Amino acid sequence: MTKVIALFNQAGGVGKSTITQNLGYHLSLRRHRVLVVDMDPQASLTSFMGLEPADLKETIYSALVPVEDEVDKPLPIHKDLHGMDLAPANLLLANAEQELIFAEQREFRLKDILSPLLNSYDFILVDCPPSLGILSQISLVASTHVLVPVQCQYKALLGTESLLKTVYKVKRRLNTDLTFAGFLPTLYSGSNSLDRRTLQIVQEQLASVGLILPTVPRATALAEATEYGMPLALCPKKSPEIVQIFDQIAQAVESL
Amino acid sequence: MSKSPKPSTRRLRNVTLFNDADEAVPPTLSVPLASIIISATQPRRYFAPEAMRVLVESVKKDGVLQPILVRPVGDKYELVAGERRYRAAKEAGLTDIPVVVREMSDSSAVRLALMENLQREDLNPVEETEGILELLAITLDYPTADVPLLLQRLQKEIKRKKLSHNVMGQPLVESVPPELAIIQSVFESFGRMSWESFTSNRLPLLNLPDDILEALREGRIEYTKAKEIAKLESESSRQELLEEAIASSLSLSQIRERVKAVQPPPEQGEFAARIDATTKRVKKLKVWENPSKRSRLESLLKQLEELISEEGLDEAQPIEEAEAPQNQLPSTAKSEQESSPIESGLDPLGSQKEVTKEFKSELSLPPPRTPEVPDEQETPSSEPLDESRPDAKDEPIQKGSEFTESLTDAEMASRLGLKTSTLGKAKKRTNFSEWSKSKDPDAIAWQWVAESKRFVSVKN
Repeated sequence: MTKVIALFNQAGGVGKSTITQNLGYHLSLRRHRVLVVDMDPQASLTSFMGLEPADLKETIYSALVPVEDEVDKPLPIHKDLHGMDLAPANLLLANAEQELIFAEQREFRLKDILSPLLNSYDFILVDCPPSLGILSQISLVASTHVLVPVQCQYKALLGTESLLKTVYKVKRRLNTDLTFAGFLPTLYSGSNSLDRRTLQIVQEQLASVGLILPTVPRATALAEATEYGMPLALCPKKSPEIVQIFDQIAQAVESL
Repeated sequence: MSKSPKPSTRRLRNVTLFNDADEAVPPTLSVPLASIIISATQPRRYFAPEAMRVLVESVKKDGVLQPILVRPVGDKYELVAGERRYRAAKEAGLTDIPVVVREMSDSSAVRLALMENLQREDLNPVEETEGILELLAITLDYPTADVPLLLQRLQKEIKRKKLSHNVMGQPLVESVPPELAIIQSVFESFGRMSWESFTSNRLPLLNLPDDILEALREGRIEYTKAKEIAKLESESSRQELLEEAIASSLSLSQIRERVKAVQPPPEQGEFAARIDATTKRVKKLKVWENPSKRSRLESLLKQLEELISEEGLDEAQPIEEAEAPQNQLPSTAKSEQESSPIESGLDPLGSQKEVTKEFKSELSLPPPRTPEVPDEQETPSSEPLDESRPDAKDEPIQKGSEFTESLTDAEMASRLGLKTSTLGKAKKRTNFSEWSKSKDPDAIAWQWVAESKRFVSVKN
């Protein structure tokens, strides 16, 4: 069965898009058919994949918000970008927050759009926006799993609490099958004592909720890779250790 | 900086949401309502009747969905959390109620009950404050009544240390009192506010009069409004205003007006005390060193000086003491004074903060501007045009032309037989018209028109 994994954290800049891209790439290396879906109006994932969001005519927005009296449009998909497929976004998607308010069965909009694709993919990774709004909500409803990147900062821990509540609410009412794929500590800097303590809390306290995945360090190579518009493993200045960590994460996600 | 608590002491909230969903769910059973006892330590709580009614309705329809938490005591169960559900079940006429039974010590039972209470989102500030105090008392093993003092003492100590830290450049972390670590961890555990903010913002809440506290506890009135009503010292008028405010849901500004109207004017003796206190504060804060305040201070002083010289100016025409100084303030200065600690005398701490804040910003401000305010350059805004004054209605609105008589300073001074400097001060008094009439050889009442810098006669 296809695993639909929402990468979700209402905090911005914790590494959602980076993880989505690299996890997708490593899953594809492991011979899985992968679709990555950009649900963030900031469209970081879309640009990390090498597209220029502003130039796109058709994005996930066209599928999410149907024009009245028109047949629902299928999800526009860009095939085989670094071994995976991409449903891109751009800033227009921000309008969807408002426009979906009155849509019927809006909670299931993304789920309905993805359902015809389930047979074509083994993994669908949904890059959620950094908010607790409708776009995040419908992403969680459409998913089988939620993967939470957690920045190793005290502030991020506080955000995790409301995140847990949000996931819990969706799970209780709209998507009882939703489970945690795990927590992924990111932007970790081992020389910082605060980071170390925060990581410890994540490992101790969140283990009862979901798997704690291998920690992704803070690294220049990762930031650079986004500039190249490709997964880290394909970049000229790749860091072998981090590439290996992504592969471990892919392995863990594979056996969910 | 105060040392942040070890994050390892922080327990993430909402983790249990998922733990409960796992197989680790403690077994739920149903027990007779009669087998449940309420302990005396159960935190006192107000149950809003309307919310309670809704809950009872829902229990009648669907039963109690979420089990209550109890602990075994002999052959009975003592309620730990879920008193509302328990009451609703009783009222709905149920015989049994679903419970989760957990063994726990007395203190952890109380802690759990309090924590559960504090997690509620609809808790009002009084309940929350009292709950936090109780929780602190239990955790620290202190009598509840002593906790506020402890908090205030710690806050003072830390402030002092911070100061010496800044001055001496010494680290201050070595001697954190053990209580502080516990207090911090308690506040961390429910993460709603810091202990410092609790101490300075929430503790004062409990000093409110009992009737006000009760209304707050019952959620009948908002905190900001309650605080305003509490300013009334007389219990009967306070009670009256409280009831009115609730019944006709008065706005905050309406309440302010009423408080102002009811509050008796300050006693004579209070003036002396206030003046002394004000002078002391002004000197201590060196208000004149703050460029932004300097010119205001100057004009206020000037007005005071004028006020005093007027007193000696004409003994036969005593100024209405209580009102004259107020009316003579330029409107800007007046509004400023209303919010100053001197005037309100009610919120000395808050306003002092403001003063020192502005005071601190001194360095980034341009050099002081020392405006000369000659009598001739009165701006219209500083001319009191009090509409409530009876003679104000007769004030000439158009200047010049339609009045045959219009005199300059010097002409008027000679007409009234005064020095120009005396006239300069006198013309700003509210009762200048009457006063000039008494001095005028033809008993004409005069009025100073700042725009034209001339005196004109007042009709009638």
